[in-house]
Amino acid sequence: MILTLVISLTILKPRMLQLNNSKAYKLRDIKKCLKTVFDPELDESIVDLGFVSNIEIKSDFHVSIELKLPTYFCSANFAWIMCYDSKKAIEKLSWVLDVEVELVDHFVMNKVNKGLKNNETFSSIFGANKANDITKLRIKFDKKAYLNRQSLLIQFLRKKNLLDSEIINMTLDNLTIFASKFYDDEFNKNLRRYKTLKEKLIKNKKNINFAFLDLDGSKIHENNLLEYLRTLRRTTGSITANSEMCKILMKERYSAGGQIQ
Amino acid sequence: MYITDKGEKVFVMDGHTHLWDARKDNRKNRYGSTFIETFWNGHTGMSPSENVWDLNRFEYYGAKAAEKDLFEKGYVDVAVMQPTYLYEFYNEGFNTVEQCSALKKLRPENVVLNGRIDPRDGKKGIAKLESDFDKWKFKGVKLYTAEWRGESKGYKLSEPIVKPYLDKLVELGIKNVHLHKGPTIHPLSLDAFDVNDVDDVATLYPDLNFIVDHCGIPRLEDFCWIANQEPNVFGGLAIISAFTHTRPRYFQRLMVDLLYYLGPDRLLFGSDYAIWEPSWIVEKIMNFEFDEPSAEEAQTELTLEVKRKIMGENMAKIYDINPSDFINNTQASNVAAE
Repeated sequence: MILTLVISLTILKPRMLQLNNSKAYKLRDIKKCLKTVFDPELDESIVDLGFVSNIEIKSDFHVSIELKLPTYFCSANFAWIMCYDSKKAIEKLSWVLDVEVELVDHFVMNKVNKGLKNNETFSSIFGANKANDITKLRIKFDKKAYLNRQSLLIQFLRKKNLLDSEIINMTLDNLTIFASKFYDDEFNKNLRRYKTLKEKLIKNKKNINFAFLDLDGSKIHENNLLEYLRTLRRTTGSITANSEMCKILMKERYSAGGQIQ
Repeated sequence: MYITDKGEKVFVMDGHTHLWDARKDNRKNRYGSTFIETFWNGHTGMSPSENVWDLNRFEYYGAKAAEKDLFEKGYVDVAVMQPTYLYEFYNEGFNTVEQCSALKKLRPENVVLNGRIDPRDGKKGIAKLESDFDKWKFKGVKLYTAEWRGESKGYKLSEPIVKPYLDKLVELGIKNVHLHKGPTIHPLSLDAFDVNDVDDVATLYPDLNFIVDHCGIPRLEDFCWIANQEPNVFGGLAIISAFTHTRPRYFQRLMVDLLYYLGPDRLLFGSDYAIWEPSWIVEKIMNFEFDEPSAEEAQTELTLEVKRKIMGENMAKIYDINPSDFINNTQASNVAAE
């Protein structure tokens, strides 16, 4: 009797584990995917911002996620971009056949949810005009994000007592080597995203081996780093302060008594 | 009036206050609930715990309570009221001129009541502006360019419909134009936050003052750039000033940029009451100092002189108010008697 039990347990156990593992593995997969989805304006991942409120693996190949934003009135185009990008990112996973993204508690949730389901575009839902050009919007905010990341990297290097001339003339390879020595998660995170954006945005490849280029692909002028950083500061200041505001509102909205019926 | 530890008196003019009614009965739809919800989340998330109200009071506090919060507890000498209509969300409006006038009646000397215009109202709106002006003698008006109205998802100051209104303001001698350029309701697209249209009108109307409330957040960089070039563009500090408690580092950062690009003469204090009470914000700002690198970046320290300008003197100038009328009169003796 005892023997049978032991045998059945040993047989059953690995199978159960495997099942659980597979679900846990899939969840991890999805989270990893969603980490690459950014709030375009705040330049932070929607996972870190706490916007992903639920992930459900409905069947072996069917995933459903829910997104919540800091206010009912968060910008419609940003809400769309985040929902759309989430869907596209998860769809890329080899085991996924069907993705449902649901935006909740938001003034355009019905339109966005329906549009995503029917594979519509932002302008087909909200009207095609200049202001609704999502591609242009993405580029604009990618540029801001690029400058934001760049400024954070440069400030970090200056704190490590590198000279301005050394920073200006640093190659991307050298920067990568530095990064591996600093063991600073924040720095590495910034660098990864910075590289992606640099690749995407800098069309003039003449100076492409250098780590720090302005949006035109030019090197920062010698002796001019401080002034350059000041212009970047305006962008980064705006992004970071706005991001803090959103985090505060997000936390309050979804804590006890935060919602008004 | 705020008095420093050393006994220096500081005139305080709060450029951004409201008297709203967000009670359930007044809410028309879900927008009405979620609109006040966002304010409420800002209130609980950024106020010091001892300044957090209960929800009932936040939904409706009335003129009496506002009088106390602003002029007794809040150091405010003069409060400018900025109406926000939102008839699509609230049956009787959210914070109309009529509603705000209750506080004006209680404290005529201490309240500047602003009007509100929406250029999409066409000729009717101009007639209304005239009759409102007859009644209230506004020195300023508020415009909410991102507000949805039927098919319209907002408008730009550069649109032709705006010009007749600005001409009328000039004609009536209303010289302060407050533009809500900040976190907004119903933002459909990037345009809702755009501050570039301020550039056009500021150049065309050099005699009008354009006060960009919330300094264009989250487009502060565009705002700094425009304000740097246009001498009649001002920065209203509502929301930014509320960072002083929970995120003082961000307050410092924003102030550094604003002082560098606009200088100390064009920044105007505002609490955004009743989202936040001026009492704690005034205290925090008056006790705030830049660290050394920030002062270097801003090219100025937050000296008492700079603070005096920001907290009231700049605003007094554009509203033709004499701070010494407030600092040396009954209010001061009230404080002394306490």
